[in-house]
Amino acid sequence: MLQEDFYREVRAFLVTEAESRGRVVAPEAIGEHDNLFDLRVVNSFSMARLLVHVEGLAGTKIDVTAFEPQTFFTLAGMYEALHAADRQPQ
Amino acid sequence: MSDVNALAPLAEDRRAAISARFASIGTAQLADAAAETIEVLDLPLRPHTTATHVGGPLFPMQTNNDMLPCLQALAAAPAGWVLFISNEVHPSEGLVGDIFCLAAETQGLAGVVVDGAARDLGELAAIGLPVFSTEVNYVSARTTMQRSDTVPATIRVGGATLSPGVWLFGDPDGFLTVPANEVDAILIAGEVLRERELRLKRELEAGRRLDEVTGLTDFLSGTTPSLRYSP
Repeated sequence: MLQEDFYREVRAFLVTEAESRGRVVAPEAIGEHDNLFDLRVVNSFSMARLLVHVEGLAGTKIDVTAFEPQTFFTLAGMYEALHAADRQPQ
Repeated sequence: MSDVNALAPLAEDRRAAISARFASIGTAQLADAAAETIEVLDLPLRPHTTATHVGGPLFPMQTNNDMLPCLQALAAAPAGWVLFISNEVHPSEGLVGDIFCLAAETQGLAGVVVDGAARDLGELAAIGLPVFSTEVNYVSARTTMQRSDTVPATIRVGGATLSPGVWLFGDPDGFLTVPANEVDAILIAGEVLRERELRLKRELEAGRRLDEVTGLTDFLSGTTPSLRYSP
């Protein structure tokens, strides 16, 4: 998946998640290197849902043996993680 | 990816990675990370060894105060899996003891969890395998010659449905199950939450107040519409 498509899809997911908690966020306000917790577009209860969604976008599994948690604080980190997963099929 | 169909041993590197990650977070953060996905296993399980964290795909079975199905399950459970014994009879007679659990450890199981009674607690303490039970009884269950045809089996216990291959995680906070195909994502989500909590703790250790860090004061006064830090 192209980076721009990935970012668009994940931003749409995050905007919907934030809206479900009464928080209005513009997609363009979510920068690729922004910490998603600091932006308050995810919280504890949406983190796993986000990662499952990201797995679905990539059509691959995030491998628990391969990544550090900080990877998933940002859009850029998640995109890189997915490409790493693509290079190492499960 | 599912561990359900194969009933295959868990690869050692995957087992080690998952154990290490789970030990660093625990059930509380797994529950926070995936409150909508987990199933709570509501049983008063107590640890009997120094290994207080257990995690792995489930090999559940049910018995009726009979050791034979337990022995069948022990023989059939793949390495890396958690043997879950559910006794239909309570109070339970002793279904697992030091020999049973030593065998489970040498076969490479990830743990033994019993909704029923364990015994030989003094000897069990020396075993490295996680062993939990809801009861203790020094009276051993009998061993019939009635072979069970349902090992492993999907069972309903403690408010949860335990199917072969569903993942069980447990520690002193409690027990929960996670679908096999979401284990990796949920574990990483739990670790992400732990990293976030560590950052919060560092701010508190540096002298900041919790109501300041979370924005509670501003929120209560109506200055901001939400907390800066919330679960």
